[in-house]
Amino acid sequence: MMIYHYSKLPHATIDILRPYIDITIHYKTRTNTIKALIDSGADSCIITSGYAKSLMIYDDYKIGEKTKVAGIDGIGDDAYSINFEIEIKDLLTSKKIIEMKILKSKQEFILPGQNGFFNLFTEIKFRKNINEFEIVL
Amino acid sequence: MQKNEKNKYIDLSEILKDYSEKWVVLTYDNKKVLKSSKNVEDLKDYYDKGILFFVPNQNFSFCP
Repeated sequence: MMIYHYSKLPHATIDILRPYIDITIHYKTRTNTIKALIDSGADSCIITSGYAKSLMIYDDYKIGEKTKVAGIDGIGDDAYSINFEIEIKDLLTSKKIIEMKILKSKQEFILPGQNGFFNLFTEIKFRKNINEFEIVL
Repeated sequence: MQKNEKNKYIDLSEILKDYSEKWVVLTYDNKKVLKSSKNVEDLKDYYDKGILFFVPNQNFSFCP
């Protein structure tokens, strides 16, 4: 079990605190540690094309299975599913394979969602009142 | 009132305030920006030295 703190980000007008976690992602010969936003509202795990590029995945991600992903605007964008290996320091110390959908977006993010990430763990609890979240393996 | 010692967070607001919509590589302790750029590939020599992060736009909230 690990307890993490929310992260406060710069914002022009309000305090923004979000549940970020540092995840090490492996793809072929590349290994990067990336700050990912835990997203209990995401059906799947999403990685945008800029982060994919940092793992040396360019337009070749289109070899993955094509699906549609819709955000709050309801517009379905093409996304391509690729398997990655992930580790999380002091929590997931052996590599686990998860499927992430690669998406082109104006904003760049990694969203570990319900299918792929949440189901790796027994429990993920958010305690917003004390700006903590807990992940139980 | 008793102070809630657990009410903590990682404060990135100061160190990232000048990097809106830029890519950064942070030190593993989240205390310093090692390198930044508009283009993620400019940071490739730093990927293995810290945590890669795209700093979101500071003028709007995020509802993915």
